[in-house]
Amino acid sequence: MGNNSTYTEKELVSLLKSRDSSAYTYLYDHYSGALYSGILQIVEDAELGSDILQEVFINIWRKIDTYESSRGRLYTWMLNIARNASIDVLRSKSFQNSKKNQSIPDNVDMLKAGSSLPDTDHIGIRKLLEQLKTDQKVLIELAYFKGYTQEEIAEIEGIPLGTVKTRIRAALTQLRTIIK
Amino acid sequence: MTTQEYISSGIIESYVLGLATEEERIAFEKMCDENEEVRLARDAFELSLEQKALQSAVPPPPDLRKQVLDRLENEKQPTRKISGKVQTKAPVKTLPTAVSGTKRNSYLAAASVTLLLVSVALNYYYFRQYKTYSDKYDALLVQNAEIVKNDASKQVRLEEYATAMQHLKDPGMAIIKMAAKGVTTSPDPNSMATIYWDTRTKDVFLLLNNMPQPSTGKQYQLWAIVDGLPVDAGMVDMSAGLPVVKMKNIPRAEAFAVTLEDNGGSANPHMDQLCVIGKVS
Repeated sequence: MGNNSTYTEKELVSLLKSRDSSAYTYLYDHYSGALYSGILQIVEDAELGSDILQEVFINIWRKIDTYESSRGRLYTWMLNIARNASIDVLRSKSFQNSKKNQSIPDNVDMLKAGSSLPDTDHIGIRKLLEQLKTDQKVLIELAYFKGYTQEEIAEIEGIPLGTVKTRIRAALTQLRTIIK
Repeated sequence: MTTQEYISSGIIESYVLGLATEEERIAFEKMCDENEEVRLARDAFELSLEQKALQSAVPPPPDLRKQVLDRLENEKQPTRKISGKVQTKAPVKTLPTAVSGTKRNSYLAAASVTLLLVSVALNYYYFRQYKTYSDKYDALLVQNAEIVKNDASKQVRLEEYATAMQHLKDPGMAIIKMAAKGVTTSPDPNSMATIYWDTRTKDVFLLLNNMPQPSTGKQYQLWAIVDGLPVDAGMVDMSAGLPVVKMKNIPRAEAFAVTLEDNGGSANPHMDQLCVIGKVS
């Protein structure tokens, strides 16, 4: 089922906007893994991650007309859709309830030992966290993986908003050097 | 702040990862439009982020591919396309159906109310009809009962007439005509009555041929004259309206006479009230 054709990003976006089936097949084959990884780093649940990934592709199909190439790469746009969808699920009532029903040790065991869940601790943005100072680590965790605003983080952590901004910026600049 | 300082301030990463505030996002996009160096730096970060992500890709469950692609094919269906492509139009699209649905319901409601009213009117109309015919039927029943009763009484009358006729025809009957001729006390000189006297049983029957209706409180009384003396032969009951009234049994008499007496009759006749008289021949 592999699709061997390759597109430039411009060609791909144009085909996606015209709802070309083979372009979406290519998109899936090419990006589903990267997006799935991005989702799992947030929700840490393979089954839930699959559901979210499916919704992400539906959303890409529906919202592709709003994508502007001048504002960034297609993958960046898709990653943001995936991140927002993941955080929405994370914050949904049903997810919160299912988490409450699990005791913490079980939860940890499941995350670490569960065969269905790939180890996401050492991939993508999560990998960055290992190399950050603890205070920065917490902030990136809350901002990127939990989706809190900087104002919310300032309140949660009990530190001034300015400090939150500075620390997050500092952590993010390190990210660039790490992924390069 | 120089361009280089701006580029390394963390704003690029913040923007790309979706952590920038609305304000920061608008300012950054403006900067990208104006400053190619910033835009190139952004592109470079995005590209390295994408490459890193592709390297650390986690393959999703294999069966998900078909699911996703099938669902995308479904999105192509015209109805889905409307909600997908022009999302803002979807609610507008559903509104007319909702309205027409309500409209249709209100038509149905109006129709059922109308039908109910028609039904109530018809019920009332038919009830009135029923009542009318029921009353008429009751009246007919009463009328019929009356007819049957009348018929029965007429039957009785007829039998009485037949019996009377029988007496009149009977050759054993002696006929004594009583008239007002020469009777000055009679109220009507044309008054006439006839006695049918059974010669075998001595039963007396009286026929009032022409006698005026007695005034209130008065009654005709028949007398048999036996040996020159009047003997009561019975009161004439005219209320029954019978042609021939059976009177008392009189074994022997020379004459018969009728006087007008007070109701119930008298022991002796008031001869000043003599109406008719006839001798037995």
